[in-house]
Order: sequence, then C-alpha cells, then structure tokens
Amino acid sequence: MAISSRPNQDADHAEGPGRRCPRKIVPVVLVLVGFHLLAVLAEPLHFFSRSEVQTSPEFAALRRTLAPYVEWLYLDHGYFFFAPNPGPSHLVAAKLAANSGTSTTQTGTAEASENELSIGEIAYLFPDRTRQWPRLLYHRYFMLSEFYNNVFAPSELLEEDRQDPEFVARWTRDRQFYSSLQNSIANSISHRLSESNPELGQPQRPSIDLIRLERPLPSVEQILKQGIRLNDSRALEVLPEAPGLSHQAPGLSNGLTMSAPASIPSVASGVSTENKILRVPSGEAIQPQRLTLPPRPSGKL
Amino acid sequence: MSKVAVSKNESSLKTGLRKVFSNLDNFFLTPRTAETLAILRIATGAMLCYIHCIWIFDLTSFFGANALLSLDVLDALHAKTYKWTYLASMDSLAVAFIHEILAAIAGVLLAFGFATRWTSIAAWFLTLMTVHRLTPFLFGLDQITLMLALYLCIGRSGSCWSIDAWIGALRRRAIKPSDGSAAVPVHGVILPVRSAKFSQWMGWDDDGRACWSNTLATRLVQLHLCVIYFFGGLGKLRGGMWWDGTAMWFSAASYEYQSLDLTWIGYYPILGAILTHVTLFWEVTYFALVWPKQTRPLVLAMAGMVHAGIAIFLGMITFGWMMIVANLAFIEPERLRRCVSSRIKKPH
Repeated sequence: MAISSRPNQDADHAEGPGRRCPRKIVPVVLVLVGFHLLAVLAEPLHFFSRSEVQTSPEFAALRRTLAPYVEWLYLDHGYFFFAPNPGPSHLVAAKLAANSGTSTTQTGTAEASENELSIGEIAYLFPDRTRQWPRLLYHRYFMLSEFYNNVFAPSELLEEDRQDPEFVARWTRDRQFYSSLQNSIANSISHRLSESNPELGQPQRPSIDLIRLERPLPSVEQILKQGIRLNDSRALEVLPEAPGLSHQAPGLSNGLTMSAPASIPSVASGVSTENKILRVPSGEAIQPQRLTLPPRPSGKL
Repeated sequence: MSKVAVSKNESSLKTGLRKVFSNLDNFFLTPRTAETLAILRIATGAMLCYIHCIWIFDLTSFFGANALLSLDVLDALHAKTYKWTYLASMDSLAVAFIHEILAAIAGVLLAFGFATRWTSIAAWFLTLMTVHRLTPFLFGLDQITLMLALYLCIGRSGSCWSIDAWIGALRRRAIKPSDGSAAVPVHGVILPVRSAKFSQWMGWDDDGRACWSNTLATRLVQLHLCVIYFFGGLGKLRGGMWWDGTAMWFSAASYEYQSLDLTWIGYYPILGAILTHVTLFWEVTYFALVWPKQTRPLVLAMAGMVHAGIAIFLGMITFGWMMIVANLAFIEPERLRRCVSSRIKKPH
C-alpha cells in the first residue's frame, strides 16, 4: 500500500500544523483503532471462511470474542452485494383464507367492484412498486420478502431427515421462527385489510395465508427474442411450503396463470444464516396453479 | 549469541517498531481540516433524515402492535446476540413516532452542522436503535449510512460549512478579550453564546484549524470502504456469472431491482461481459489502487460510474448516492475547499 508516512508530503496532509493528538494518548488511540478495524474485519472473515464442513476456527473465535462490539455497532455484514451471483427475486403474496368470513364475490364479474376482495384472492403483494412508494419504502418491503424467503423452513421433513436428531432439532427451531414470522406478517396485513376494507373486518379480522413467490432470472433469449416482459407475472413461481405439497388453488378467475417450479430450490444455496443447511429434496412435482393478481392500489393499501 | 549481537538485534527491533509506530501515527493522526468530513456530514445527515421520514411514512407497518415484524419475532431473531435497542422492549406507536421524529431532526441538524458534536452522536445512536428494531428491512444503504454516521462522531465535521462554524465566526468577531464572553446579535436575536464554556461545549469555539480527529475519522471511512469493496469483490469471485460475463445482464434483468430498462445490454453481449469484468476487477483491486495518487482518480471515477449505474438502473438511488458520497473520503480537504470556493466565487 503506498501510504505516505511523512506528514505534509501527501496532499492529504497539506494543511500543515494543527491540533495534534496528545502524545500520551497516541498509543491508546492506535490500539483502539486496531481493535475497531479487527471488528470491521471479523464478520466478513467469519462469513467467508465458512464451508459445509466447518467455519475456520480462528475466525470463528475472533467473531465470537468481538460479538458484543460487532453486533451492537451493526458491523456484522458479509458485504455480499449481488454475490456470489445475481439471484432470483422473491415476493410474498397474501391470500384471503377460506375462514375469513368474507363475501365470496367472483372477481372479474361485472358486479364485482374493483377493490372488492374474495376468498382465495391475493389481497396484498410485496414488494410491489405500485403500492409501496417512494422507492426506499419499496426496497424495505423487498428486503422483508427476501428475508422471509431466506429463513424459510419446510413444514415437514422427509423420512430420511427425521433420522438425524441434530437436524430435526435445528429444523424445529428454524420452523418455529419461520412460523412466527409468517404469523406476524399475516397479522399485520390482515389488520391493514380490515382497516381499508371495513366489511372484511366483520366479525373478526380476515385470515391470511402467505405464499412465497419467486421470479427466476430471465435469459436474453426470453426477453429480447421471445419478447417476454420482465414484469410478466406468468414468470412468477409459487414456492411450496413442504416437499410434495402444493398450495390450494386460490379459485379460478380471469387472473394470470403462474407456472409452478420445475424443482424445489435448495434452501442451503441461498441462505446466509449460520448453520442454516436445511435440505429440501428436489424434483417434487408441483401442480400448476392459477393466482389472481391483487387489485390496483387504492386508498390506504 | 554474543551480548553485542543481542543488543544490536534489540536496538534494530526497537528502531523498526518505532518506525511502524511513527508511520501509523502519521497515517491516522496527522491533523487535517474538515472539508471532506463536512461533505460527508451534509449528505449523511440528509440521508438519515430521509430514512427516518420513510419509517414514519408507513409507521404502523414497522412499529406498534400490528407491525410486520412483531416483538416476539424480533426477540427470537436477536436471541443470543447483542443487538439491543430500547424499541424492542415496547410496541408503543407513540414512542416509535417520537423516536423517529427525533432521529429525523437529528439528521437535519447534522446536515446543517448545528451543535454537530452532539447531533452527530444523537443521529447515529437513534438510527442504531431503529436499525436493531427493523433488521429484516435493511440493506446496503443502512450499512453505509450508519458507518458514516459512526465515524462522523469522531471528527470535527462541524468546523466548516456549518451553522457551528458560522456561529463560531460571529462569536470570535464579537468576543471580549477580557473575560472571553460574547453576545452576538444576529438579526435582532442574541444568540446564547455568551459563556465561553457553553460555546466550547457546543463546539462553537472551533476555528476550523486542522485536527487529528478529522484524519482519524477520514482514515476509518477509507479503510472501512476498502474492506467493503474487497469482500464484495471476493464474494463475486465465487460466482460463475461474474466469470462468464453474464452478471451484468442478470442484474439488469431483475425486475424487482430495475428502475430504468437496461435490457438492451443483451443485444451487446461483449459490452455486458466487459462491464461485468471491469466491475469485478475494480472492486477486487479497489483496496490497493485507491491509495496511489496515480490510480486514485481512475478508481474513484469508476466508483462514481458503478454506483451511478446502480442508482439509475437498479433502483437503489439512495444506496448508490451514499456510496458515491463515501468515496469522497478519498478526496483531500484542500481540493474540496478549492472546488467549493471556486464555485461560490464564480459569477452567474
């Protein structure tokens, strides 16, 4: 590193004499700086030295030792921007559940008003740039949907995975967290819906099911030669909650068809949380589903 | 080994250590003026204000009993971590509202440089509390803004281009040499700068001289940026798309990120591959090439282009903008002062 060691020779130091650090505290300041820089490095080193076998012990120890400082100061980042590869985006759709006690209006009919919601219909979607605005707010929702997808733990385990007690214990913990996050998001959306559609809140708040959606990255061929638009909702794939399970079809309407994934993605590939190596078997066929896109935003939603 | 050889070795070791210590001292603590930090302060303060305004804009989704992330989930998420925030112990919307308003005000005051010594700490701390409450909603913007806010607490960024500097100048003009007190009438208002102690406490006694804490803060921003880019680059090196040149296309083709259509790049695969590889090379080598004066302008220009691209095409205007601002830490205060004063003097 070409760092000028002499004062006032680098243009950075062109200001000449000023308030110098008192001689007595210079060593203290330098030790503190060293400690802080070590803390800045602790998380990325820990993050990068992780494999399926182990996390490098010295970096794990460093990270563990500095944990209070690193975590409270919000220095615990791996700096994985668009890395290792740009990946598919994830969305979350909120569907009105059958026990919502709401009207069963058929959407798409002449009688149905634009904002009327019916059972099985997607009532809310995030991220959605038409609903969440300004852009920073949209990005907040986008990060939540990615987080929700990252912490996903399937509702069931395959028989062979049930044989490993450690794996089951980890899955139980992860599943609990995922379920509580699911409930929290569903409750919040339900509250919104009942506020913006008072009829939905009678006699109690509508019940919400959350659906994880994935928008795979399109090829050049698909976009530039076949003319498919980036925002084409046909590209959205419904991610299953458990191996072999498919979502209940939310009612046929004039909504767009969403194709199902050809295979269930491995959770391990995209999760950065430590020890999150839940395996979801691939190759489970999911029945194609039809989802009704949510109505355009109006009022509070 | 003879006694002479041992003492020779000891003395050369001592000399070596002294040299290292001296180099570190010069690198981190040689005084500099605050123009660079002032630019970072203005941008960071404004961005912090905007960030908190956005939380307020959709307050009930982020805080309160019906928040998207309930306190139970937050407790589980932060179990066995040290991510403490007082916002995790209550789900009162009123408290969250007051907290966010105060944080936004602290951001504005930081941007304008009023009582910077205190508002920088307040803006950083209040934002940190929010960050620990809303972890799943965060992204690079929060990392970089909070990092800048932290280092701004160290330097004297309010000693130029700030209300503090303006009040300080007024005070120095009106000061009574006998007791060091001053009364400064500004547009009929007597500013509370009578007491020398109070002025010192508020940071109004700062005459804008070069100071070691400015260098320390700037160096920490620079080194932190190097860490960010280096590991960002290493992460990309693990991915095949950054090697086969398709990463630019797949970044452009992500609808959730897209703000301006960049898919035309698909018609020019060579251009896409070159942009991918240049970005990767720049990111991985940033930590080394940003220091020599010969390569620094190129590296910073590249940073400007990459982050402007992210801001314009990938919908992360705030993040892209803050990364550009953070890169200004590598521009000397002297140069910034010349640049700003020449713009002010330029007749329109």
